[in-house]
Amino acid sequence: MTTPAVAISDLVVGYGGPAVVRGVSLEVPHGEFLAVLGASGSGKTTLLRSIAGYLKPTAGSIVVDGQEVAGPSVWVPPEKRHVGVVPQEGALFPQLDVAGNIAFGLPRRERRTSTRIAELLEMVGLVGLEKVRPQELSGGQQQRVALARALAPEPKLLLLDEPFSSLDAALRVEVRTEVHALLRSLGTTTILVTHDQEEALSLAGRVAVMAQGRIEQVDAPWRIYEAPSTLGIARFVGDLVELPVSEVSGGSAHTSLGWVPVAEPIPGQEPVATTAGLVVLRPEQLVLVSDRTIGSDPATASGAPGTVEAIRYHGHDSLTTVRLTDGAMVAVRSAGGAGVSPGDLVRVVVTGSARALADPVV
Amino acid sequence: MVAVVVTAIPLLYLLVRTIDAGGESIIAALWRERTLDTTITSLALVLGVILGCLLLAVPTAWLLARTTIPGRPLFLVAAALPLAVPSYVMAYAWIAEFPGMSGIWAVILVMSLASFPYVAIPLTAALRHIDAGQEEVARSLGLGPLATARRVTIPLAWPAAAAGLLLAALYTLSEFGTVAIFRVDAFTRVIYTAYRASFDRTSAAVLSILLVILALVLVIVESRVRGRAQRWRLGSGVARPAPRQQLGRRATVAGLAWLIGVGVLALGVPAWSLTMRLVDSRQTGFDVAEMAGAIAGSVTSSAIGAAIALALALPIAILAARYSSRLVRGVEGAAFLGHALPGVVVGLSLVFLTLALLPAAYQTLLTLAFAYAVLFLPKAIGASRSSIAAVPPALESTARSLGRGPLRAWFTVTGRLAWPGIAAGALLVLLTAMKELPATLMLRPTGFDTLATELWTRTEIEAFGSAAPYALAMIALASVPAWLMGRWLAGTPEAPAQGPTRNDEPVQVDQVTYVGGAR
Repeated sequence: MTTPAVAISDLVVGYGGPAVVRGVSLEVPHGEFLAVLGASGSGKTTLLRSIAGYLKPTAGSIVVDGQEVAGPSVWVPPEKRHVGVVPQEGALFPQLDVAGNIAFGLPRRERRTSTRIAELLEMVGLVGLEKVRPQELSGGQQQRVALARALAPEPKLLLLDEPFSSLDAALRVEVRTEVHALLRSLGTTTILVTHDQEEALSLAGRVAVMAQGRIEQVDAPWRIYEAPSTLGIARFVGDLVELPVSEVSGGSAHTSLGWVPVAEPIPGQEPVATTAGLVVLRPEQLVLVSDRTIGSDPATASGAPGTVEAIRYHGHDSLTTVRLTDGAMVAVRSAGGAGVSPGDLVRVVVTGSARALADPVV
Repeated sequence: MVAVVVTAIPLLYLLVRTIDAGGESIIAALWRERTLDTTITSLALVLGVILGCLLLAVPTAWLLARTTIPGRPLFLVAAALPLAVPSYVMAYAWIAEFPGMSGIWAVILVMSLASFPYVAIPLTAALRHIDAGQEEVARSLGLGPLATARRVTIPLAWPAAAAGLLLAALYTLSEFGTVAIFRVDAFTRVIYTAYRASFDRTSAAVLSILLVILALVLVIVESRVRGRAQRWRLGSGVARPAPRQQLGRRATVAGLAWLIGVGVLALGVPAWSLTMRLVDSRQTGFDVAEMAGAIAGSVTSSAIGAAIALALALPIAILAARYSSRLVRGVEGAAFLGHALPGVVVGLSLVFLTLALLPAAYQTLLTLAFAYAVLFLPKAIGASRSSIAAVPPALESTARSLGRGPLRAWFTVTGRLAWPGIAAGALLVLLTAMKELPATLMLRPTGFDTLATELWTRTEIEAFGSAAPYALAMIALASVPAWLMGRWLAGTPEAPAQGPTRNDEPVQVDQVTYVGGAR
């Protein structure tokens, strides 16, 4: 594990105009499954295309498995990089059948022998479809062929460019679970580029969040969700309750929900000025308490009072929007149904601690 | 059904007539040395034009589709413009400038210049539309740029080019004017001469059938190739157009020189020659009455022809657009074979037919118009069909459920919405028929002249100067469909991800076929 599979330092990439990737540094150790998560236009696909060799960076360097492939005076064309790519639409070759597609990157000698092809077909669960044309395959099967094609020459690194986004919801989960299991068993170093936070959080060992051409945070999925380093990340990943802070005292902040404990800032994060920021909570950190069960005596009741505005019911959970008495709106996640109806008077109780983040707008 | 039968009558009659002549004389006609010579000449022409088109179109398409060469939009238009010059007008322009030109190389040169857009335009579109992902994946799998071109780009772009090439081949095979101007004994000229000489009509009929068979082969191969191109579509998402290559200074100069050179040959020479001749014609005097007569003749005969074609085409188009049963496809296919009918053959068979069955109809306006209808039926069907198919059937069924009868529903909804396309089809037939030459020469009533025949007569007697106004009028006519096509193509190569015809090379080829009327 001395040399990482990929080491990117201070990478700048542009298309002639302003740079799209602006100073990215990233190391991916061998065997890791890393997800690059970002909204469209964040530069994540550009980053992937420069690693693949489709784009020439303007500055910085890329080292794949110890070999510099892009740098100030180095340029290795894509065909010499041994980096496999599964593009968004699969980009299968329509003039070739499944076997022909998979064999495409193999040396001529191996293209004739079918053992490798059979092996790959079995790996992706498409045995018996060798002679089928790509256009006769379903979307999920096309993606699997594209994966097998990329894996055939045994690349040092595999890049997945939103490979599941063209599949419909049910199929997407199925295919990506399979792909993930396969890649883990092969131990292939993989970089997945996606705008789907659920996909990134559920598949990757580490997630790199990109925004405006920079990587904002690289961390384990649960850290990205629970300890986002910026308000942007917090808003992009999952639902969020944002509360302005009116007063800070010790480890607590006073908000519309009363005094809320605030967690220690994560290392490297800029300390937040006392009242200029926000505290954020995840909706599942809030608990809904029906006003009736507590009794109507405000003095003994805990939590902040409010009125139920709307309920989004998802089956396994529900998200209830509550208007607090001071007018602030908060979202509360309850497992299953919340047992309340719009118009009900409720109280909202905070569990756990909030995160203080600087509001870039203020 | 009726429409197809009507279309087929002339051809069937030609067949009957040939068989009537008796086996021996057929064999005699077939085995004559001249038949072999003619076949070789025609095939050599076709082959030469195919190679010529490739030579002109491939570098042009690559420069326009894949490089950052300056002036691309301009050159793209210029690459389509030769379609606006009927090939025999181009031949006239060349021979008027270089009176020594003749022979097979002259025909290959002019036909290649006149028909390379059939290849260049769809090829440019195809090269633009190949998903960048495909070539990138090939690179990431270890293929260098050349291997990528050989194993990915060429297989993907080939169908579009092949369809265009076959079209060019087909037009070469049935081209009469150019071949006659340069005095090359290809099928069309030999048939025409045999007919003119009038003592050798069996030979003319046999050669006609041979020509039709050759053309049929081309049409069938063409539709196969096109069908395959259609099957080769994959993926529902947005395909990224392939990236353009940044050319170095020297390459840019070479590329520009190439594009300008092609432009000079295909457009510059004809334009120069025509302008010079026009100046000549002002000195030699110009008969306005004659020109007016020719225009009137062109308009009346073509208008009647377009009306007949429309009447025959509509039922087929309606059926083909709405139902796709095997029978309907067969009927449509049969009408499509009309592409394979050279004007000379239709002319000849109608001469025979009228003389044998209806001498009163021989060399009448109606017969001429009927010939136009037979020749250009496929164009009328194509135009009406696509516009009818574009009307959602749900609209018509909604009209039905709102209480309109089937006919009224069709006319008030589908017909109402599709009529611009139908009208465009009729207009196309009209304009195309105005430029038809061989059938017109054979079938026109005595003393009846069209623009095409006037140009022809003047070229024959080498009165190049007085022919210029007619050539100019023909170009004006041919520009209308070329302009229409320009509008269709506008934006497509540069912005392929928009509109319903995205990524659809067959549509591109169809559009070119459609404007094949320019010939």
